[in-house]
Order: sequence, then C-alpha cells, then structure tokens
Amino acid sequence: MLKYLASSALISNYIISAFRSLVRHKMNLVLTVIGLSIGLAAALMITLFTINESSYDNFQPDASRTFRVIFHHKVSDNEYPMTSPRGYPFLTKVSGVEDVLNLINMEFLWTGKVIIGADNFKLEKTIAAHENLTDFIAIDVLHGELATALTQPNKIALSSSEALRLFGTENAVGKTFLSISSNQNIEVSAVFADFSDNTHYAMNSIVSAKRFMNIMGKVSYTYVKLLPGADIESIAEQTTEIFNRIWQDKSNTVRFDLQPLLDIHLAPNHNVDLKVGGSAKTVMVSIALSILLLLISSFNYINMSIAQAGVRAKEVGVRKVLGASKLQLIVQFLTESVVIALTSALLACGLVELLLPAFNQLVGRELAIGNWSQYLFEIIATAVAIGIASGLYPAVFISSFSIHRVLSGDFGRGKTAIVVRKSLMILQSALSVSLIISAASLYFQLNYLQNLDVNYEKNQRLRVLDVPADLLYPQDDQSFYQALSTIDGVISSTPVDFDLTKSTNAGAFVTSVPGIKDFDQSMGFGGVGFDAVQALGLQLIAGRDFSTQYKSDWFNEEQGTVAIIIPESVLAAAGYKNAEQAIGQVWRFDAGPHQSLQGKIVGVVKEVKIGSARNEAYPVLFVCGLTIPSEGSIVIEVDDQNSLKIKQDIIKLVEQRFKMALVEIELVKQNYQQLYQKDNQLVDMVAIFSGLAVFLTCVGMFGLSAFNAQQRSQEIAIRKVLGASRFSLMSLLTSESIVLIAMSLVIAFPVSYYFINEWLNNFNERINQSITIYLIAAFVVALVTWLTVAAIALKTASVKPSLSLRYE
Amino acid sequence: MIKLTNASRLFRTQDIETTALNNINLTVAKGDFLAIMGPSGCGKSTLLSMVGMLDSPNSGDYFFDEVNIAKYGERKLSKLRSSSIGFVFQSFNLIDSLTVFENVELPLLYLKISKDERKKRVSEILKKVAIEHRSAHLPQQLSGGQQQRVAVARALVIKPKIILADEPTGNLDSKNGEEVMAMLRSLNTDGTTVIMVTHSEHDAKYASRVIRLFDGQIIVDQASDVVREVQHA
Repeated sequence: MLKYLASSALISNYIISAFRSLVRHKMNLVLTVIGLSIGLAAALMITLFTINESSYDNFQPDASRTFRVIFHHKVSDNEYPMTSPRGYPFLTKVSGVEDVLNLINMEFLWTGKVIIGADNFKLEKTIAAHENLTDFIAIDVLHGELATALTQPNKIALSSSEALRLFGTENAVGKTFLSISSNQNIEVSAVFADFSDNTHYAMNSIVSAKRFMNIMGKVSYTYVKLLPGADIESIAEQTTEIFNRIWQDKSNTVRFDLQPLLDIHLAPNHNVDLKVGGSAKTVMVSIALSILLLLISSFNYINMSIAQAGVRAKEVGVRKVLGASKLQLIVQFLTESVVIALTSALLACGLVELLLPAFNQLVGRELAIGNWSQYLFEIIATAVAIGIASGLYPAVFISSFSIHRVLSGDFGRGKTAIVVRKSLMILQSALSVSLIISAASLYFQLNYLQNLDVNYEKNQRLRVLDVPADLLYPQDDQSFYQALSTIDGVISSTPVDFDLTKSTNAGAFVTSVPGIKDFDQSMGFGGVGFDAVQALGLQLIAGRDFSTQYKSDWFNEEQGTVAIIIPESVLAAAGYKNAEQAIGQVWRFDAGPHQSLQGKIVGVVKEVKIGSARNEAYPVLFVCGLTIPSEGSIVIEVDDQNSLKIKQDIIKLVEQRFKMALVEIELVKQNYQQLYQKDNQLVDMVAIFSGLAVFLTCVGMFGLSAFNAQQRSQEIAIRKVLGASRFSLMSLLTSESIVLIAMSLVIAFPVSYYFINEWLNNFNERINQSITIYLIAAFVVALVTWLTVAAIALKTASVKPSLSLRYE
Repeated sequence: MIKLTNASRLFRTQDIETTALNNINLTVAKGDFLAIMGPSGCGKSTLLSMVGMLDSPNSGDYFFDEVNIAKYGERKLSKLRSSSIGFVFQSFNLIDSLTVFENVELPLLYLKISKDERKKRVSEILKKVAIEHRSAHLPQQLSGGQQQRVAVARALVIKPKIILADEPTGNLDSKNGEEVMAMLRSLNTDGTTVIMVTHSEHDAKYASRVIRLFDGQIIVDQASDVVREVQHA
C-alpha cells in the first residue's frame, strides 16, 4: 500500500516536478516561501527566547528544592522579597529545612563610597553572605579564596568587571581600598566571574554577613533549601510565626510565603530586586504572536494554493488519465507543500542567523544558537508538520477535480472557480483588516498603560541622590535651597526621602481624625520640603503647596506640629464630602520615632502612582520638613533637563555646601524608563511582530489579487477586442476588488470590535476603540489591493489580444 | 473488442439538460482504424471520453473485451484504462515541469513498472518516434510536431490495446500532421486498434472506417471512401 502511494520513484518525480514548477512561477515561489520563512524564523527566535526565559536559575545547586521567602502584607496585599536576618537561627531549626541563605543588601547599610588612590568610586550591588553562599549559588571563582571574604571582616570579593572597573585588572586579589564611612581599608580576597545572564541573582561584590545578622529591619533576601518531600505550607506557617515573634507583631497582618527559585524570574518584579527580571506575560504574548505569524503564513499558502489550483488542473487531469489515483495525487501535492515548507525552514534558519542580534536588542537578552544540529530534528519536524497542515486542504481540493471538466477547459472559467476566487479574496481581506485593527489596538492599549498619569511630573526633573537627611531637612535654615534657586535654569526644588519611581520607605500611622472613630487607611510617609507640589509636579486639587511664606508649615519638633498634604483617595474615609472640607483640619499621626504629631492639612493632591504606571496607586502622606530615613534626595525642576551646565552648577553647589564627594545626579524620567524597561520591551515586541503579521497578510493580499487579475487575462483580451480602453479595463478589475473588500469589512468590523472589546474589558484602565483605526485598516488593505490589481490590469491590458486569445 | 449498446450520456447544469449522446450503438473490432466525424457540438469528444473510460454512460452498456464496464467506479476504470488505452490529445497535454523522458515515463510510474524496465521501454519508444535526441528537454523547448510525437510516445509506452486520438493534427501544420497520421497508420498496421476524432476529411482517409455523428446519434457508419473505392474497384 505504501509503495503504491509513495514509491521512491514517484516521490522523486513529485519533488522534481515541484521544484521545476516553483522555479517557473517565481512570484508564487517568492510569496509563499518568503512568507513561510518569516513565520518560521519568528517562531524559532521566540522559541529560543521562551526556552531561555524558562530556564533561569536551573543550573543552581539543588534548584528545585530552593525557595525564596516572601513577606506578604495581608491588608495592603503588598509583597516584599526581603526580611530580617535575625530569622536565620530559627529558620534552620524548622523541620524540613536543610539550609538557609541570607543575602543582605548592603545598600541599606553602607554608602559604598570608597577611595582608591586619588579616585572616588561607589560600589553598588554589594551583598553580605555566609559561607554557605556557594551551596545555593554556582559561583565561578577566578582568583583567590571566596571563603576568606565570607568569613573575615574588612575583606571583599569582587566580580571580574568590578575588579576591572576599580583596579584596571581582573586579578585584583590583594589590592585594597578605603571605605569612607568606616575609614577602614578593605582588602580584595577573591575575584569571581560575572554572573551569567540567566539567573535572577545579581551581585557585583560580596562581603561577610557575620556582623549584620542582628538587624531587625528587612535587609536580607532570604532563601531556604528544603529536604525532599518537605511540607511547604507548614514551613511557611512556621516562618510567619518566627518573624512575628522577632518583630513582636501580634497584629496578624503579616504572612510569609515560599516562592520556588525557578519561578522567580518570570514572576512579577519587586522594586527592590537587584535585577530587573522577565515577565511571564511577555513570554506568553510572544508565544501567541509567533503562533499568529505561523498561522498567517500557512493561511497565505493555503489561499494561494487553492487559487492556483486552476493552473494545476490540467496537470491533474493528465496525471489522472495516465493512471494516477486520487490518493496518489493527494500525496503528490502534500509532498510539494512539504518541500516548500522545508525550503522555507532552511531560509528561516538563515534569517535567524542574520536577525538574532537585533532580536536580542529587542528583548534585552543574549540569545545565541550555539550549534544548529541541536535543533535540527525539531525544525524539520515542525516544517514537515506545517507543510502537511497547510497542504492538506489544497491537496484534497485539487485532486478531486473531475477529469472531464478539467480537460474540457471549463475549470478555470467555470462558475465554481469564480466563487472560490471571490470567497478567498474576501477571506484574505477580512483577515488582513482584522489583523491590522487588532495589532493597532493592542499597541495603543499597552502604550496607554505605559503612559498613565502617575500624578507627578517626570519630565524636566533632576534628582540628586544620597544626601544625608540632616543636611536636607535643616531646622531653621533654607539657605541651601535659596542658593539652589539662584542657579540659572532651576525653577524649584524640594527634598524628598523616598523614590517616587520605586517605593515608599516608611509608613505614616494616622491615629486620630476629627469626627472619625476608626481611621484605618494605611499610608506611606513622604518627607518633603517647601514647594513640594511644584517641584515634584503633584496635582493639587484643593488648598496650597508648602511654602516659605508660611514658616509654620515646616516641622516644629518642640511643639510636634507640621503641615501635611493628603491624597484625594482618603477623603471619603476621613468623612469629607469634598477636598475643600479637608483644608485646615488637624490629624494626629505617628511616624518613625515620632509619636502623636499634629498634622495640619494645607492641601489635597491627586494620588500618586508609586512605581510602574500599572500599579495600584498607594496613598502617600506628604509631610513638610520631617524625615525618617537617614538619607534622601533633592528633586529639582529645571527648564532644560539635558543642559550639562545646569547639572554641573548643581553638583558644584552640593559638593561645596554639603562637603560631599561624588555627587550623583540623574534624570527622573530616565530612571523611570529604565525601571520599566521590560514593559516598554513588551510594547516594542508587540509592535514589531504585529507589523510583521500585517506585512505578511498584505503579501497574501498582493499574491491573491495578482493571481486573480492574471486569471482574467483572456476576458480582458476579449473585452479589448470589443473596444474597451485600458482605463476602463483597469476600472473593471479594481472595482471588483474594492467591492470584495467592502464585503469583507462587513465580516471584519463587527468581529474585530467584539473580540477586542472583550479583551480590553480585562483592564481597569482601557482605551476606547476609535473608528479611525478601523478606517485606516480598511484603507491600507484597499490600497495594497488596488495598486496591485491596477498595475497588473494595466500590464495585461497592454498585451496584444491575439496572444491571450490563442487557444493554449 | 468494444461494444456500446444503447449508451446515452446526459449533462445537467442547474436547469439545463443537454443530451450529448443519444442511444449509441457501436462495435469496434480489434485492429480497426475508426474515424469519428461530425459538426461541432455533435458529441464526438463525449463519445471518445466514454470509450476511453474517462466518463461513464448514464444508461446503456459498454462491453470492453466482453466485460460490461458501464457501471464501473472511478478506481476500476482508472486501472483498466491505464493499462489498456493510450491517449493522444489535440493540445498535446504534456506536463510542463517534466522532461520528455519523464513525461513518457510517467504512466509507467503509475503502473509500478521497475526502473530498468521503464528505462528500456522509454528509450525504445523514443527511438521509435524519432525524438530520442531531445529526451532531456522540457516541452516548452519543442515545436508542436515534436510535442505531439512525445505525446504519441507516451501513449504507446504502456503497450496499449487501443489508441484514442482527439483531433491529433488540430494544432499542427500539414507536414507535421502528415507525420503523425503516418505514425498512427503504421501502428494500426502493426495491430493496434486506433479510434480517432477528426474534423479533417483528409485525415479520415487514413482510417478504414468512418462514423458520422449528428446531435448525439450515429447517422453514418461505413467503411471509409478509400476502402469502398478498393471494394468497388
């Protein structure tokens, strides 16, 4: 039976026939093969990306048994990946726990500012850990002894790029630098290879954690390695109990969860993570996009094959006459489509080699194809599967032609052929239009989310970092800010003790609101100075900004009074019917070491969105002249954020006044964009792949229209003989296509609208579907088709009728 | 060898019914050279299709080698046809993407003939029709006469019992036409039955018997003029 269907002689006949036929009809070749190659190349790159994203940290020792401890605040539903290192001795005793790793983020404990020779440097991403570090993380030590740095004080291990940066040489073992804050010399005892891309761990330098294990605050990333078969739930509960005891917290508002190490990379990011991770959503969207591209290319192929069926009909008739059975013909055409798919796969591999660097730019990874033979089997299998899937319907369709009809020439012009041709055109057009609309809507929605109002201003803002708090919030001396305002280009400035683009540091606990029994709104504490609303670009809806005109705004320690600005979202809970009612009211609150402060409301602002625009807004209580953390920053509104001179003037002033070296200044906008890079990436990725998808469908439209026009060459010749002008012939063909496209809109518009609407309703904030997108999509498709058909009609109509009318 | 009894063929398209063949009775003996003639639309091609097992009668019987194949399905007809009947068409109907050799070899592929046997038969037949020097060429590279010769070779390579030719010289000039007709006649002399549809009275002279169709019925069935001349002579 198999021999009957596919003897090797027959197969080679099919393949030879397929190749030669492809070469003769070059346009068909180009359109189908290129279309399929693009789809396959995209699928291949996305597969590489997905595999890479899913494999983060899988090379760490005992990765499947390792979990990260996550702090979960039940009331606000906030999560935090850090906790106190005090938990270490207790956690190791929990049954089922084999080992515990504390990675203490030195950012909270050390300025990182050092002197080497005559130069100042700042070390960032310094981690303090114990000797069991290498039991959890695979570290490649290049020089020296890592254990020394992990056990002895004043020793440090550097990554190789850090060693290069600081000392100009990779082997920096034995070299020393001076830590400014402790005035001690630190010696490099080891250099380790930079961490590879595919891990969520990130550290530039490592020190010993011995001195920091008693800290109460949440400064340590904590990981536990469980014994096989351990009860995760129970361990998590015990962890919660441990920390409730350590913090003496009986409020039962805290819960600890264990997050598998292997899930961390694709899980939602935390602002304090050392490295920006990936996103499960991006991965899923890219998978969806690549499947879409493959589907479109396959659909194009199916369409073109069916349309061209008429051309092959003669061959089909002849082969049937010569003894081919229907099944043999199906196998023949399937062989052809598999050959085309394999050719496309080859081309796709070439495309991937070419485009991988650009793709890496897009997704921010370093994907590489080490060895093609690894993927050979999968690639071939996929190509064959696609070839069969796309070729099946056309093969069955073509091989069912009745000999009689075919050989009598009825086929190309018969009624069926015309109906098929028109339906395919409508279908292709509907698909193209829907696709353009969907791609545009997806892009605009994502973009919209990106640019949602955060209710503070990122543009034209500079930020000076890491300034000691006592210098920023002087009791009775605004001379620094006055001097700052005299700099050319500075419009306003204010100190700020938290990073609006990241998170609030501390909480404000309101204890009494006049007229309200139980005010339980949790709020973040924002210590700012005069002109905070102006400098931060907050949206004031009632009252006024903190101002030097009202000296009493500033925090008065003796009297315990201070001016506050509240967010709009707490108005209702405080019993105010509108914002104006809040002005002048006095609330009592605790913050840090200060108890029962009296805060007089002078203004109400729109709630700010801390962190990503897509986060839920978190109410912040702005307090004038009071701060809790030991360091803060200055936010400065300037008229030209790119001016080097303004920056230099500011830096000079700060260095002079505050006797600081190495003043760091950044653009708020840039800082924000870098943090939410991966969101941007997603939008870019969608844009590019949707663009590709749209391009592919237009290619399909082009192929179909071209083919249809050519099929009517005989009709055109006849009309020409009967007196039609070239122009009227062109109008004839193009008007038919336009009518078909119009008909396709009847399908495409409602279907697109419905599905896109359903999707948009998943979002809290969504765009409205605009008629413009729909019209543009229809216009683009119509334009492509019109141009194609007009060009071909013109060309065909210029051919001598005698040539077309000759009986073939 | 071939016997049609009261065979009819109707075509229905939507509301129009055309009777292409109306109660045809026809007997063809082995070794006959039959010419089918008649004005356009009289049913010649339909009759040829039916005889050639490309189509079946709606009513009546078709006996091929004593077996009634009127009700045979597509599969069975195909098997019988591919081993018994060679076709020569007016428009040659060669496959454009195959060489001359591959075109002639094609029916043998479907008959599962071994590679060596195929090679032998194809070379023989190409020599016979004097086209071997072009065996690696594609049809587009040949003249009309050469293409028809290839088509004849393809029809012959299966060693058919009957050759059916539909206006074989319709697309050829007189010289090439003569060659093709001469070929057909020599085949017939060697024992192959030939049934030919033609418009040309000239070509009909090669045949030993002529039938004339009109509106789906045979109105004349007699030995050809030449034969009658000989008979009367």
